[in-house]
Order: sequence, then structure tokens, then C-alpha cells
Amino acid sequence: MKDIKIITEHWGKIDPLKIEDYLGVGGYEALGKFISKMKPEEVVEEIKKSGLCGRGGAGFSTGNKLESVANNPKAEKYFICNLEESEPGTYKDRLIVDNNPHLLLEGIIISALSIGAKRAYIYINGNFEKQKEILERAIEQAKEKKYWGENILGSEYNLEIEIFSGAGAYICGEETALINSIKGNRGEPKYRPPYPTQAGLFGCPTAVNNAETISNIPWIILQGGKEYAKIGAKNSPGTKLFILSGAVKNPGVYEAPTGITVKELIEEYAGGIQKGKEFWFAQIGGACGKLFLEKELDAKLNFSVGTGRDLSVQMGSGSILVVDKSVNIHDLLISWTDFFRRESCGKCVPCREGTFRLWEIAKRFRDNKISDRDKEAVKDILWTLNNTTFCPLGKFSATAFQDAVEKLKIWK
Amino acid sequence: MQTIQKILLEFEPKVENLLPALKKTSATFGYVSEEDAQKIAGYFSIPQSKVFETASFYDLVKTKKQPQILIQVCSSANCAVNNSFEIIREIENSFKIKAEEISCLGKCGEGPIMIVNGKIYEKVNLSKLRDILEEYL
Amino acid sequence: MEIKINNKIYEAKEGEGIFKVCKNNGIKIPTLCSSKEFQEGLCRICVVEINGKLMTSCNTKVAEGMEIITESENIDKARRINLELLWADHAGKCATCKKNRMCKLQSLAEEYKIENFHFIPRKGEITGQEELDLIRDNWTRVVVENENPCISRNSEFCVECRKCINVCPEKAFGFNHRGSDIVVGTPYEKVLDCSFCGECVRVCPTASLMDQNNYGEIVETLDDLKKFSVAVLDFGIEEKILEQIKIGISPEKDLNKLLINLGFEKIISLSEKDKDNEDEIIKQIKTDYAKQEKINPADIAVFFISSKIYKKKNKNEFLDYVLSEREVARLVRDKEKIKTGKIRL
Repeated sequence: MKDIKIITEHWGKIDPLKIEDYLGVGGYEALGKFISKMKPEEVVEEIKKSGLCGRGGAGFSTGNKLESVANNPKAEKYFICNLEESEPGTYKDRLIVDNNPHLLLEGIIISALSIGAKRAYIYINGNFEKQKEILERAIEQAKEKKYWGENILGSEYNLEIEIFSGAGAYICGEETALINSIKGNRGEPKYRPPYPTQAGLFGCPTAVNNAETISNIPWIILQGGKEYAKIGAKNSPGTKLFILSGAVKNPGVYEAPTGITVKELIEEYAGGIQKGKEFWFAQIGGACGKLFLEKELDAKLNFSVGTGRDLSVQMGSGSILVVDKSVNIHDLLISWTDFFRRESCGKCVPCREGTFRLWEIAKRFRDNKISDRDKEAVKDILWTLNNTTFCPLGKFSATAFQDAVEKLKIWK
Repeated sequence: MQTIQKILLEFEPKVENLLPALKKTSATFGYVSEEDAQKIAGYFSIPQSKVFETASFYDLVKTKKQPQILIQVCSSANCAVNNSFEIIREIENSFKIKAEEISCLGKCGEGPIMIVNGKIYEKVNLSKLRDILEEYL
Repeated sequence: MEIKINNKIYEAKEGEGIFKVCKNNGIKIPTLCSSKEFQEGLCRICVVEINGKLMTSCNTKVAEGMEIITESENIDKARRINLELLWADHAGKCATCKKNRMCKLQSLAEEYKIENFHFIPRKGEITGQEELDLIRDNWTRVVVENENPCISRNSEFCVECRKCINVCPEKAFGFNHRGSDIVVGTPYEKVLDCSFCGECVRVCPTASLMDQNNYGEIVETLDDLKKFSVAVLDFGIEEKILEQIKIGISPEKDLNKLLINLGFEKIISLSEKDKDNEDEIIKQIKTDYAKQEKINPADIAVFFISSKIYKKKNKNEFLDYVLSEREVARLVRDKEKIKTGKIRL
């Protein structure tokens, strides 16, 4: 099971610029199967059976999301592939495009058709210029083969695909902010309900799914949801792309089944810790990720699905930053806090003001000017970020700092 | 020569084209000037305040003329553990230029990442820094 | 539907906001950013506990089976921290503030006893060369603009509630930049150029948007025994003035007494039918009336007291000052202070 590869199977073996290469390894067979043998609701059912959940970090059930849009009686619906990927330390979706863009595209077409969307958007990070070109080329080739457009593969299905390029804003990875951004607005999160699945882009039901999530769908269609559900952790099955960086021997992106431990990833996939360096902690899930000490590395990586969520093993976007003891913690604290101070949309008070104050205090800490009053203030700020912000970004911005205080005991 | 009118004609005046038009304007002229923002507002039939609200939100749309040498350094955690702050301090101290700290570009394997006038440099260290910047100074 | 608020059952209509239901039933919830028309949930001060979870009451709609608590230790904590974060740029500045005693943030800070000074101010005026050093010292830029004739703007006191943005019929303001660099203001920080309806000044909870005036000169004119000060009261302004001063500025309910106390010698109240010829009536003061009373027109100061602050740009030889209800309230406030010995002139 450990060796199973769903996303990365053909990486490095096929030319991403040639659709023929993808076809040569069974590409677009899933689309063919769907068009000739399956009804849209059967696709949704299969995805539900697979237990696939959102790879962007939230871990929401993909099947349920698609189903709720599919069941909406409104005629106009949209499908959006979220390729904003601006979580620090995370570049898995970019590599999916770099290595096998047609896999993603096939997933997009199947998912969009399964919910009855006539139009799909690919919202791509504004810095991914090269990837945009790769995708444009893939889209063009797929159109020639009639994999999208009018009467897909001779069927009654029609679908338009469009790339929308972001403009540099972390918060646009959040789905309501992403939708606002397409509409020419500031990328601010919107109050929910209504959820995008009820009223999203241009007020229509919209399914926003992460690129990695979507890339699993052709496999699920071909092998069946039941088979997929057997892979990895029970409550969030499948494989996941993990991005290892920092003090490991071989930094990079690795595909492994969910439920794998942090230790296994570091030791068996990334070649262990670099020579001469001593492990201090690992940050899991990007800038908003929790910090794990050596004794916690046996935690199984998981998504928080259903009840009984255990935050200590949440993998978020799948990035693992290994920090060794030579790293200056002041730099990291400033990095985390400055990131959120800059990337907060700024609309709600606790996030706009709180992230600024954490950054300010992190700088005073670096300059050895921190007071007891500052330490008290940090407690209050972390509390309000955790409890009162408009969207989850506020909560995220507190995580690493909180762990630095509680686990790394930076004040002592 | 590229003009704001020509850029606007590439886009249908629909809201979903506002951000692409702003990005293109900014990339072409270095930033979106007040006069251009007024023309964009007119073209899309929206108030100028709305154009500026959106433009000033995104990193890839500039609303101010940029310095001749724009140095951006990634200060996200993955570059920070590879000493990107040392680079930022060195640029300030030795070259007297304030580097703009930017968020992750997803090139974490190649960090620290520095961008000078749009050109990306990977695995920057103190000795490389001098060579790179001397090209521009 | 029925919902439970503070363990009592109340009737609520589908789609109604919790804040509104509470207000209709006399349950007070503090807020800085929400209004009748707009509930954006920005200030996070109107938080309540809904089935045990902290949520903003303004933009959360009622739902069957909701149990709401409006006062608890956690709610108090949330409100205090969020107020304190905003208070940093106001602490210690009230005594000299034009909006002292008429400021929403000030009254909330008093109500929630925000006394701790955990944070230093973070907003300041930045110009050219100093910019770099100040940014290093954590300052955020402040936009001050007094070049337009009617509205005085200073983002130092802005709490980013977006009320001005939402209320403006001409969309003059925007929510600009991102994160802690947010500045509410005009695009490209241009001088405000609009019809100056004054709605933004009316809704601003702090001293960020104020009526433009030369306050010292106004006080001097009113105190000048040689000057004959005439107040022309616009139709409907009386109520607005009394509304302004009743929030702890003065217990006086007789507007004439208040105005005389301020130094006005004559008060003319416009009726509804005077709407179209107010300029003519104002003109008559320094012409016909002056002649009739044998007063040198140069010794007369005419004040038009009105919410139409755009009239400030139409001042001429017949009209010396235009004062809004807020400016009258400010004059009353300062008079009261002198009376109680808080200010000595």
C-alpha cells in the first residue's frame, strides 16, 4: 500500500506538453468511461464512496460538496479548481501542473460535468506564469480531442474551461475570497451561510475544489470509490502529497498514503535529518501549521473529518518544515507574524490589529525589549484570534505563535 | 506603443475582467496611475474608489511608481530557516536599500528566494548577493 | 419562530439578525460597525454566545432552537480585547479631541473600562524621507486632509468600520490596501471632492471624519461683544441638535436657551416652506434687517445651522458660518466645561 501512487505515478516519465504521452498511459480513459457508461450522479456517488476529502487543508468531504451543488435545482452552476496555492512551504499543486497537467484537467472535466456545470474556472496563483502556459497548452490539446467544449466525445455534454489568474493574495485560497476575487472585488472572505455550494460565483451554486483533490478523481472513476477508500487512513483515505523542506536530506514532494507518521516521512522519504544538524521541531501545514516536537513525531497525519477531530494530527496542506536547533527562532516568529500581518485581508478588528501586534511584539522579543506586559498581551491577542475573527485565517495566524509559547517555551 | 486604451480593448467590460486588466496595466506601465485608474473606472462603469480598493489589495498590482531597483525577498518560514532575514539585513545595511518582504512563491526547495526587478534568484547567500546586486547598481 | 435569549423566550421573524431582535426587545449589545442598513461583522464587538459559541450578533440570523447569551465572561473578554486593540491609537488623546464626549469608541472604552495600555499607538503621519525609519518603528501611515471645504479627515482615529464607505451615495471612499496597512479613504489619497452631503460625517463613530471649520474663530466671534451673532436654524435641525447633546453633554432641553448661552443674539427658525428661499432669508439679515435695526452689517455674523454641510462652500458676504448639529454640540460641550471649571479660557 505504501507504494501506491495516484497523482505522481507518471511524473518524470511523460512529457507534460504532449497529450499523446498522457493518452499512452491510460489518460482520459476515466472521462471516456464516464461519458459512455456513467450518469453524473453515479460519479458523485463513487466519489462519496471513496471518502475523498479536500486536499487544500480543510479536509471537507469532496463527495458531499459536489453532491450539494449537483442537487441544487438552479440551472447555472460553476466548478472552480483552486490552484491559488500560496500556503508557505507548499508547492504540490504547482508540481502537478509541471508534471502531469492533463491528469488535473481530466479531473476538472469529470467533476464539472458531474455537478452539471457548464463552465469551469481554474483559479491559478498569479506567480505561476509557467504553469499557466502549460495549462493553456493542455487545455488547447484537450479541446482538439473534444474532451471539452461542445458535445464532449460526441455526447450531449458541453463545458467551457477558463483560466483565471490570481494577483498575489494568500487569502484568495479561501473559497469565498477566491470567488470575490474573480468578481473583481477585494479578496475578502464572505459571511457564510450562504455557502458557495448554495450561492457562489455570480450568485450561482459553485463547487470550489483544490487541484490535488481533483487529480484523484480519474483514478476513483477507473478503480472505483471502494478501492480508493481502502488506501491510507480510514477517516480520510487516499494518498497525499507531502512537501518536505528545511533540515532534511532530500527536500521535495512525496506521495504517501494518509495516516503515515511524520517520522516515517522524514526518515523514509526525505532521507532523514541533514548531517550535523539536530532536530528541533517540525511545522506541519504551512504558516498556519502546528509545531511538533520529537516525541510527537509518531502522530499519524490525517484530516479532521467528522466528529472527534484530533487537531494534533491534522496535516493541512501537507507541508512539513523541519526546523533544526541552529535556526534562529526570532527570525521564524517574525516570519510567521509578518506573513499574517501582510496577508490578513484587514477587514475584521482582531485579525487586522492582532496580527500587527503579534509582529510588533515578535520584533521586540528579537531586540530583547520584551516586557511582561507584552507577554500578557500575547495571551489576549491569541485568545481573540482564536475566538472572534471573521474567518479561519485569524485562528491560523495564532497557531504557530501559540505553540512557540507553549511547546518551545520561548519566553524562558 | 502600448496605451491604456489598447489594453482595455483587450478586455470586455465585465467585472471578471477588472483584475486581469489591472494586472496587465500594472505589468505594462510598472503601476496603475491615477489617470489610468480613472480610465479603467470609466471603461468598466464603476467608481474609481472601487478600482483602487481592488488594485491596492493585490501584490501583483502596484498603485505607486516602483523604485528603479525593486528588491523583494521571501520571508516566509521556509526561506527564513535558510537565512533570508540575513539577506534582508545585508541589503539594508550594505546597500542602503529597503527590500520588500514577500510571501512564499512555492520555490521552497530553492530558497532563499530573491527577486530583483522581476527576475527570480534562487539559493541566494551573502556572497552571491553582492554579485547579483552589483549588476543593478 | 421562538428563540431563547438570556434564558427567556422571544418571538423572532425568519431572516432577522440577532442584534436586531435583541434591540427590539430592549437587550443592549454594543457595536461600532453595524447600522440599520449594513451589518458586516467587522468590529467583532457585538459578539454573543450562540449555543455556546462566540459569534457576531449583527450578521448572524436567527434560527430555530438557538440559545443566545448576551453577557458572559467570555463575551466581556472578547469585547474588551477587541476594543483595546482599537483603543491604542486613541488612549490619552481624548481631552484635546474635537469629538470628546461625542465619540462612540470613547463611550465603549469607558463602559468596558479599557484602562490597560498594552499597546503603543501605531498610526502616524509619514512624509517622504522619514518614511523608512517610521515604518521600522511600526508606524502605519495616516492620511490627514483639510483641503476640501467641508469635511476634515484624519485616519489616525479611524476604526475601519466602513460606515462612511457604505453610506456614501457617490462611493467617494474605499477600503484600501491590505492587512495592517488598511487605510479607509479616497482613491490615491486624493483631496475629497464630492457633493459633501455630510452623511459620512454623521455616521463616523470617531474623530476620523469631522465638520471642517475654523473653531477658534467661531468661538471668538460668538464671544465678541461687538459682534451681533445671528443663528438661522434650518428646518428640522432642533431635534438633531438636542439628539446630539443629550448623550451626556448638557441636560438643557431648551434650544433657545442653549444658543443664547453660546452667544447668539438672534435666532431665526426656518419653516418647511422656507426650504427654497433660505439663501434669500439669510441675505436679508445683513441687508433689510440690518437697516431696520440700524446695525452696521459688518458687525453682524450670520450662522446657518444646518445638516447641509455642503453649504460651507457657499459662504459669502451674507453668510459667515455654516454649523452642523455636531458643531453646535461641540460648542455646547465646551461651554459646559467652562461652566464646570474644566477649561479656563
